[in-house]
Amino acid sequence: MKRLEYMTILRQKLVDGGLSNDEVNDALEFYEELFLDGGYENEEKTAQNLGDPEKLAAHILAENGSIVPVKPAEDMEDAYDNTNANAQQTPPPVNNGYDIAPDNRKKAIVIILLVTAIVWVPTLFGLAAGAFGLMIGILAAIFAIGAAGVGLLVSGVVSMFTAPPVGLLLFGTGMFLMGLSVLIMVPVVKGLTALAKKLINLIVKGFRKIMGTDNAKAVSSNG
Amino acid sequence: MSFPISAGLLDSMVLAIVEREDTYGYEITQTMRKAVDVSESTLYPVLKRLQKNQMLETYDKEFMGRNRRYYHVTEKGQLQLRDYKQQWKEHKRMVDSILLKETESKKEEPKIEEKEDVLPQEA
Repeated sequence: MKRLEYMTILRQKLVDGGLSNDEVNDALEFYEELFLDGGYENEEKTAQNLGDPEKLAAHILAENGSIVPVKPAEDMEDAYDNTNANAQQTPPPVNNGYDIAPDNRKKAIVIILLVTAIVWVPTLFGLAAGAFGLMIGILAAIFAIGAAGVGLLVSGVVSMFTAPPVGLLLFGTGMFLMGLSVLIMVPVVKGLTALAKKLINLIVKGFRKIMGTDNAKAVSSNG
Repeated sequence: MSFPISAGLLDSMVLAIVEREDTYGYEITQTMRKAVDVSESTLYPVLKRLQKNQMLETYDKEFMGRNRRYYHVTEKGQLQLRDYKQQWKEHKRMVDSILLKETESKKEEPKIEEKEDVLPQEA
């Protein structure tokens, strides 16, 4: 039994026993403290050490002089079981929502997608092409820097024989540009591939979520 | 342990623990459990009783964002504890005189506070 469960039963029993609010809170604070000081991971153990919460409640009530006939335990257990059952049923409704008519819903979405394809397929295509173009452009620019570097390097080596200072300058600049392009290239390529992967995953996931895997394949092959 | 612990003995042990140093519920239960097999549940009524009889007083201290209730022995509690200790020594001597045959037996009956709730021991 965890802290919350234990404390709930204890509170209920003490209140049922006719203990005043102050007394109930005082007792609950004490046992709450024991649980907290015992540590979150030891809640089960603490509860075990404390023993049956109903017996504990009876004990506290007896100490307070209010001798209350202990109600049949079944009453409370039933009440408790019900709340427990309710608690366990709370998560499923989400699934139930899906279970109502998954096929109809899927079909409807597919139809809507197909009908509106005229609008969104070109748009998507345009966006994808734009992104692709941008990517290529960036890569080309970086490549161009590298290429310029190579060119400068070569011309630098050549002019080294006629005018050594100029040749050295060109050689150095060429080296610099080559290094620069390589330096930029690595993270940019990494970033772009990661981005592309994410985008593709997102799209695929989106399709799969909306409809079955088969439908997603069909649509993506269409697009 | 097969000897039940009387309420009076519980009271005196708790008083003794708190007298050493002001302390809080969990610490008291842990200390008690080191010596005797009492359920943690029995200690709240004990503390409550001692408070009601003005042997203990409490104050709250913040600990990790929550309150911890500390217990402190009052003057009355200290006097009571002294008395308890005396009684215990006598009681122990009397029991030992028979159980361990250490001292000559006295005719006096040992004074023990036997209150209504003698705690059954849990295995």
